[in-house]
Amino acid sequence: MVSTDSIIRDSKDSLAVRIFNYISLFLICFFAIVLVVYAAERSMIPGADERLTDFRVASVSSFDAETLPDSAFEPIQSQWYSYRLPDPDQLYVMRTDIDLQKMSDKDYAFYITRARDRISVFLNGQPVGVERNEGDYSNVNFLGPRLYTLPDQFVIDGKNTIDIYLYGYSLRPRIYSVFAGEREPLVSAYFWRQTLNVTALNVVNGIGVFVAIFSLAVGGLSRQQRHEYVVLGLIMIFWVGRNVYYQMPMHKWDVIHQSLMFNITTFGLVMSIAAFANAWTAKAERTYRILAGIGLGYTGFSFLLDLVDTDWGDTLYLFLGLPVVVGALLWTGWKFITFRNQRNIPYFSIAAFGICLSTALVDVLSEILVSSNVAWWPLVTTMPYSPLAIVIVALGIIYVLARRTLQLRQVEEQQRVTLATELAERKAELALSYEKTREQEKQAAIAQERQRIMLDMHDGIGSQLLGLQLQIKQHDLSSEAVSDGLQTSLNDLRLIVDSLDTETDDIGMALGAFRARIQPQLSAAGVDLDWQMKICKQISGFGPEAVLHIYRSMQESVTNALRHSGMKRLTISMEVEASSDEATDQTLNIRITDDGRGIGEAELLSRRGLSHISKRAKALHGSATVRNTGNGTEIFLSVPIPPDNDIRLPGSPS
Amino acid sequence: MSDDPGKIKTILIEDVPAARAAFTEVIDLHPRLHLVEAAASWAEGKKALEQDYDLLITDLDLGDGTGLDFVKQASASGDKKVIVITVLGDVKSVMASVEAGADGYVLKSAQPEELKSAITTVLEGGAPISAAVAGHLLKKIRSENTPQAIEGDRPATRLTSREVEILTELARGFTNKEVARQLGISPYTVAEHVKAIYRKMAVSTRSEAVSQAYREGLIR
Repeated sequence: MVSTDSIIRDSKDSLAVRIFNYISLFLICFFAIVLVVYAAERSMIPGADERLTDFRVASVSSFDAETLPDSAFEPIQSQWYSYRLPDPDQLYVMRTDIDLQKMSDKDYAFYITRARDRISVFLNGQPVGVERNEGDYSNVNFLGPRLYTLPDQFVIDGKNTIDIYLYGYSLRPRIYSVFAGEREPLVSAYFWRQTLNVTALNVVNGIGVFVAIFSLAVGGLSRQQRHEYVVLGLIMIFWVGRNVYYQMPMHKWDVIHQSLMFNITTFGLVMSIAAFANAWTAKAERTYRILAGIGLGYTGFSFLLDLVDTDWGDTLYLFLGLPVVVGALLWTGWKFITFRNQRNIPYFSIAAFGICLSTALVDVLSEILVSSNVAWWPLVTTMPYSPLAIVIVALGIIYVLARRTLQLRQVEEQQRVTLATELAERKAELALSYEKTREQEKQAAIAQERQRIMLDMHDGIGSQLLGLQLQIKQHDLSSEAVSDGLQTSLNDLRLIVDSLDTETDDIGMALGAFRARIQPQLSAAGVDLDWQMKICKQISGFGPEAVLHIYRSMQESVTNALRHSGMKRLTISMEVEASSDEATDQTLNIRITDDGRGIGEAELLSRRGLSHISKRAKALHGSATVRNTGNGTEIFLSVPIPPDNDIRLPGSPS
Repeated sequence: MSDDPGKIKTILIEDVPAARAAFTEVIDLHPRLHLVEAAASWAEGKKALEQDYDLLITDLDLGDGTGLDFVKQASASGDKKVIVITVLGDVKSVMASVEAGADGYVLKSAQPEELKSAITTVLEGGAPISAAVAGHLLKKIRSENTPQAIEGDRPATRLTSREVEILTELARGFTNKEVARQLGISPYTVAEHVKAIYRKMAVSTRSEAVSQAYREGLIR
């Protein structure tokens, strides 16, 4: 049977295989990002190696560079692959000369991969693209590239002068790789970068929002994986927040706020990934703390650099960042490799962290390589692409979660089936033992019943026959008296048989059987029987013992009447009445009335039969009364009907 | 012993001498019966039944065999009536007799009047089903009338609601006449219903009852 544990711990790959897995995964992610972005962009620009490097810079107060003498300009060197100007909130102009051959069928363009904050471009003193400095942020494309088509009428055959005006809010103005040349390839490069830096980021943000909502909703519903889903949702929220802050156009003094928010969300992202690993394993406290420490250090450092905004800060960032990033990568790789429970959420979490760092590694390496004049690395900044790595990982996490949920459901289904089977087995066992118990109870009831019958025989027929035998010995009894005595015994024997035979779950039928017994006796004596059976419903609750008591009482009443009353007609009335007694709901009332000579006071006391009837009635918690009606004798028997007992066993006394 | 052709030719099989004598006397004195032979054992009875007869009165426990054999033999011939003599009139032996094809039963009794009236009752077509037997049948029907049984393949056991009503009244001790009066129909109609009930029950349960009787030691 598949257990929950085996889903979590399903892999026991060798160390070599795990190392290979991690390296493969890292290399795939790393090169996928680098190659896609770099190769594509590079392939679009034939002169990619020929970015413009010969810049002069001057501080100005307006777009009046044309009026400045050449001596006002100072040469400027790129630091790493970008140019940083000295002061924030100061307008600068960067000037460079390009050679263009003016041809009627050729268009030229000027392409800036990235710059901040406000950029305006002039060709030979004529404006080709102007961003206003104050107030309007609507058309500001912070991350996006900028492409300026050089109008034909401004282009001069030969040397052309390009002035780039830069203005930075709070942070120093900065401009990245710049190209000039034929328009068509630059347009392609511009759209590619625009797509990756802006459009893709927006799409990925949209996915992130969706994943966040999905995770939080599923987390709200999920019983087993609530924490995992909720933390995944938090990861997505932090990640989208981070992107949004990264893309936000800067405000005059707001850059610190933006940087702060960006780094806070980055930290939240790292922390939530760590929390995710923690939630999944519940054993990753240490991992969690280490990840948290790295995240805090990284983001704190990043924010500090933004605050300071110095050249040495960049250097520090690069040469401190490189070991940090490489160290963290090695650490995540090690954790990844030595992680015992592979291919689960901690595995993916650590992989995600590593991949985030791998994008940082691309950035760091690119700056170092560019500074070393390794020319083929000029364009790439991967910061915007790290979310791509995260989205891949998030999709992986969702896949794993969904698969696990599905497996858990299968396990549940299996367990349900197993439980149902076990339940059925238990039920069968229970039924069997119940049957056994019933059988035992039945046997016990039969034994008890047997004993009762023995007692009945002994006290009834036995003593009757014995008495008769004694009488015969002591007196010379008439044959009629003997016959009479024997008949009494026989009648009693038949009543015993009937009490066992009759359907005692219906007193009406039991009484019906009694009539069959007395009818021949009455017919033989020429007595009419008025059988007033007024019981219409099935009345159960009387057992054989009770029925025999009733039979005997009735038989004695009938025998007495036959012997002593000289009746011509006997009325037996039977009915069920609502009881006045609180102990029972209903009583069975039997009235046996003859039209004979009636009973006298003396007889009332002396006749043994009558006292027997009374005793039997009392044994059934009822009563028996005898009275002279004036036209004969009436014996009234009233017996409470026992509450029906559904599980009463056949033949058992109730 | 006259050999009046208008009388019912009767064979009696009873192994207890006193009982045989008592029955012989009752049959002899009965205006409508003519005793062909009074057999004293199963072997004698077997032989006696080779003769022509209309009514068989037989005890069940014959010492050297069971009277049920003769009940089946007689009822198989179709036009003969069978009365079973039983000591106690207990339901098991009565049911076995009825299902073997008996038309009625009488109790062994020392009182000639009782024997006489019982025989008369049977001859008049009255109450071949006693209250006890009716109750037994009712219970059987109730237990069989589960939905499966009703939709089952034994239509013979299915009584009409009128028949069940009559059976219920009989089980409560009422005679055919009394049932007729209660239901506002003629006693003859009731008798017809009773015969139908009896037929259905006998047909449907005979083999079952016999095998049950074997199991329970009634037939040896």
